[in-house]
Amino acid sequence: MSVDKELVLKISKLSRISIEDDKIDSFIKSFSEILAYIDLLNSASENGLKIKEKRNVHYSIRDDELISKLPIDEVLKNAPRKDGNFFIVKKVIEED
Amino acid sequence: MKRMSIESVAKGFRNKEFLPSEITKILLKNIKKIDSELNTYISLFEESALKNAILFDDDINKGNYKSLIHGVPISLKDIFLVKDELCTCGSRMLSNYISNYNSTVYEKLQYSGAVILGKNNMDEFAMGSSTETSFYGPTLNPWNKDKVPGGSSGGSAAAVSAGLTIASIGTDTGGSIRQPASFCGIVGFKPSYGRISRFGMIAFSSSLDQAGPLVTSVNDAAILLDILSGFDSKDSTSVNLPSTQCYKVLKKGKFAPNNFTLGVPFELLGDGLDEEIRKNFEMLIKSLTNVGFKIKNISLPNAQFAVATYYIIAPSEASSNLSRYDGVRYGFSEDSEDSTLEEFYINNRSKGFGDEVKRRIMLGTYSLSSGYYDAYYLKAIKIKNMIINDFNNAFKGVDCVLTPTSPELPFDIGEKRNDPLKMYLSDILTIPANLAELPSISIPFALSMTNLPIGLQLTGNKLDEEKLLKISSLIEKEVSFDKEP
Repeated sequence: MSVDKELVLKISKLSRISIEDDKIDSFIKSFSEILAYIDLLNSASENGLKIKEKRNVHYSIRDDELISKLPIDEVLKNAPRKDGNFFIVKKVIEED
Repeated sequence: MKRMSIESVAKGFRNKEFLPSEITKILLKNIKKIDSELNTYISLFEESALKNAILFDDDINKGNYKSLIHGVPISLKDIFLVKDELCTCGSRMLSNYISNYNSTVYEKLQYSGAVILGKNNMDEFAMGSSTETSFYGPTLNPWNKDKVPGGSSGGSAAAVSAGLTIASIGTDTGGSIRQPASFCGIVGFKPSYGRISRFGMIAFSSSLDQAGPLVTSVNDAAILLDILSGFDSKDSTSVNLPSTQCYKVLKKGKFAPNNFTLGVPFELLGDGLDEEIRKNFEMLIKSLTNVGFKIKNISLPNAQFAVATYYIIAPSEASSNLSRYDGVRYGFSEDSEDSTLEEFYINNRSKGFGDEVKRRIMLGTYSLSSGYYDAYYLKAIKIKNMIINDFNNAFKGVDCVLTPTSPELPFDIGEKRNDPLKMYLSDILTIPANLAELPSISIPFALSMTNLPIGLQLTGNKLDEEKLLKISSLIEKEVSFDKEP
């Protein structure tokens, strides 16, 4: 799998992360090397893959009971922008 | 003050040799003296630690002991939430984040009477093997300040090693407790997946993350496992078993080397292993045979795929876990009038995360993206199962698996900063235990010619921490490594 600028920009868009122009080349380089290394997995023999997914009996789900939650002022304590009991988010509806 | 273990501090309290406030003051003084250089702490709880220690003086004077760690100063990797205190996770993203609630690990330590000294430095979001990706600057290795302390729990390991805390709690997703313990010449223990609650521990890769102690002895590791283990309804991956009782078993000491067979996967100790580490490891195997351990060559045919498997699973889960950092509810947040919601997200994530975190989020996003899911993520899950199967087969004939912890000695600061793949390969010997969900411990056993510590890794069968710690305790006695930086 070849990694080019187009692919890196596509993944960065999907990840909601931008890469500075002067760092794109080093990202392409490290991505190529890492993905080439990961291709090692293609040489793994899948003969032994008839393993049944045994669910571990030690895990459990909790009872369906009402539990106490954080109070709203606590939840909003770190909010960069808030109004009353709400987080303020940027407007997502386009105007005509 | 010479470095002390939990056991020796607890004994000192019981013999009225000193009090919690005295030990706490000495540690705080040492931190002030040398931590501006070593950089093992991100935040120090000076006031509350002293206040609590003075309260505990009274308990200790009266002989009211809540536990073996009552009055003992302990620190936490800065990934565990402590209500009303900063929790940065080594990132700019959380540089202003004040915890809204307590992690279960912190609550258990508090309930047992520990004095919490502060929060240790770490690689950003626990992604790294050198503690160089921390937004708060790298931690230096107390054995040689030009070397890294390992990572991601490098602040914890260096603080314990340098005598700046009695013990620290870290986390291990691919080796992040064991590798820094090895680099800093201390004991680091990752219990089985699910043994210690992860509630209030910031998530990186949820199918692999596990908390555990960084300490100066195997007995101390047992003491902390007994305190921190146990079912927690707030963590759905917490195993539904009672707390362990390993310390008592170790103290009784009714076990000997000839009770145990140790497996060594010689096939994994090939070209990539440092020659000096190999020599020391082979000498150790000889001396273990001499004292009565049975040694068996074992095969883990799929362990060679562990790093590649890990670098699909861990980034995939990270890309999902770290999608919550968007600048809306908490964390780094900048706003400008004319930006769209998407531009707002991108700006905050791009300025809040460092390069390694970005790289892993993007790797994970790629592995999970349309058209690649089967070839990457699904394939990796299959190979994870094959590795589990390999270990299950091995444990039919051996009691634990022995390797060096790290294929190399502590490396220079900056040496691998621009070579992520090389950095990833530092964890080649530790990652298999995370993928197979097994308990695994690193014990210091030798020094290199250049005076750097070398660690031995022992991996046990799932949820059988007791047997693993018994063997570790016997080997610890045999190697009697008592060097300090």
